[in-house]
Amino acid sequence: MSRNAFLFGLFVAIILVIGLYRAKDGARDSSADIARLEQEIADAYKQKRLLEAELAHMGRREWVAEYARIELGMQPARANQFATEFNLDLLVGPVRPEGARTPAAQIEAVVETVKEDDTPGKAGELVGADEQE
Amino acid sequence: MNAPFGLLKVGRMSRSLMIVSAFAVLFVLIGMRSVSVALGAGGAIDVVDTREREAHIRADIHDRNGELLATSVSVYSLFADPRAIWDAGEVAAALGSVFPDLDTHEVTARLENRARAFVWIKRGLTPRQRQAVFDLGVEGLGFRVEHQRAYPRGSQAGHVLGHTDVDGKGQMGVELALDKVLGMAEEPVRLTLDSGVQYIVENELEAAAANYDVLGAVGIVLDVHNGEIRALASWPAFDPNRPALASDAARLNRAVGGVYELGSVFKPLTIAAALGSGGISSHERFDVRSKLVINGFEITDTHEGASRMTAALVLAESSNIGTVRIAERLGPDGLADAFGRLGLLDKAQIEMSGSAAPILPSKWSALSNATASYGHGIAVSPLAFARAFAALGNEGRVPGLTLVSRERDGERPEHERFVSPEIATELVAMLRLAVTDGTGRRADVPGYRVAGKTGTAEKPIAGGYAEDHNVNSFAALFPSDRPEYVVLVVLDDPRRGGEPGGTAALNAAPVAGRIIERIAPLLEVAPVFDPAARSKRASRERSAP
Repeated sequence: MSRNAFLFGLFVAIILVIGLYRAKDGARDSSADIARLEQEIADAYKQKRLLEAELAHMGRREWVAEYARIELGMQPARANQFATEFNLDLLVGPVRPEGARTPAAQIEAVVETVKEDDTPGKAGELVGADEQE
Repeated sequence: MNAPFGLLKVGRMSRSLMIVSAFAVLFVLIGMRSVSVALGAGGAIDVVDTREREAHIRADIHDRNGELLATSVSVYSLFADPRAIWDAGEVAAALGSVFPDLDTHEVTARLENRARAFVWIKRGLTPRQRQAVFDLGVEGLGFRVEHQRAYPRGSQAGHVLGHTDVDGKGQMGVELALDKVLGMAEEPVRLTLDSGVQYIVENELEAAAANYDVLGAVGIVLDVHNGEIRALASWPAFDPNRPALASDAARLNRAVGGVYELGSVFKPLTIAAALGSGGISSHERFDVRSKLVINGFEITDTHEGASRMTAALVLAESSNIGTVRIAERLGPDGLADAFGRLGLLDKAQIEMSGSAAPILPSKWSALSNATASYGHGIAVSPLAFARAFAALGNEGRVPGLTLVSRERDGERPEHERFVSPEIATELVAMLRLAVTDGTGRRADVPGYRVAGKTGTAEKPIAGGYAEDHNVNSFAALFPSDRPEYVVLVVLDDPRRGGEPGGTAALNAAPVAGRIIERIAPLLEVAPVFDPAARSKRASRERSAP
């Protein structure tokens, strides 16, 4: 009985030792993987720094401004091209008096007039009628 | 017979026992070792760390919006072990085929020194150059990975950033002033500069240099409330990527390391000091009809105006005589004290190397008091002056200068009181008048309410002043109804077709105006159009020839 117990204990101890050994072996592999990944991260970080430097280099404002000027015909914005809600009256004229018709409403009114008359040649007077208002 | 048999039996048993014992000990040892290895007793995991062993990477430098201004990139540096090289001349010649600029004689001499085991051949190689050296197949050569400082925006903010040497040590500008911080910081160091504003200032200075054939130029944009520098430019430009190729003129940061007699831009400071001391009132009129003679030195005005002027008119017409009369109320001690509170008697305190000390009168006499009141006989750095001028826009408090963004720790420089908020506001109104109706008209930008002052100073030469060589400047605050920024432009010896380029009203003022028009949207200053001012301007333009 004691011999069987001894053998069983020995068996369990061997299993434990083997299990621990495998775990240790796995940890060793994981550690190597981590080191490799850390190296990859370091390389990627280095690459990122280089790309950021290249982006900053390629995005130099003098080049962008030159490109915008030559290729797109753009110029630095002038002060009178900016407006706030307080400046609109001065820049584009006062708000239409209350009750005044919008340009769209004016056109609609003329179209209605044309429909009512329904005579040839009236449509040709649309522009003139709009301008008179 | 029994005895020998018995002895033999005992001997066999003894041998068996010994063998069994030996095996038992062996198994116990193997078992113990197995357990030891499995449990890892005393064992760190023996894994080779394959990462490159590199020095700490110097921190990047960003502008206030996170745009990259300076970084460190990995480069290869070539070294040799002379003891492993048989024919130094042959190796040097082979390297010379890869690096045409290499001094092969000097390299040969270094490689022949077999007492040394390590000599640098060339540092900062590109991957392509490294491969070319590999392809030579020469023994005794090796590479080390190093970090080289790179400034991807070229010369932009070159004077502010400075540069490092081949070992990564700061040599100039912020790189030198913040050398330790940059060497240790994990996060990028964020400056107060705005790349967009910096570009515009540099761009306009370059245009001014071409138009007026200047020897040098300075442009500064400063936040009046917290002293943060939004742009600081010095012309000729300096490319920190190639510091060795820069001329002395390009290396000099004139905004910080140059000192100038800036002329009439000092007048508002003198008038503010006099108003603050109670020595004059804003309604008082000063007689400017006749020239002044102090210790044999004549003080005159270059253009005629009213015979008696208020302080506002003195400023608008830039009267030297009027300013001296006002400064006389302060006295030499009073003016020196006022300039001291403005920080004009010391070098500008800023996180940048090379801040120049001012050149001051050896003694504050009546004459030096008179000339200093309108910016002669006292030479200061443009940055120190910009700080003093900012006090007028900051309700009379002198802001502490800074180049490093302090958003993170909330640290703010202390502000010293120069004059009361009421007097500061009054001075800004006078400066606005100097732009709308005085010498600064060409700096006006519709909508941005520019307030400012021109300064035209003859350049000092041995024994006096050069009549045909000037330092022209324009100091501006905008918007004048709620000042946010100082813009200072200084042009060193502007010329037109070889002739003197005229007063600051003709060159420095319009340059400042153009800068303000372009930077205001970036600084989120909205234009406000005053109908009265617009019609007045239109009428003036109509009446102009």
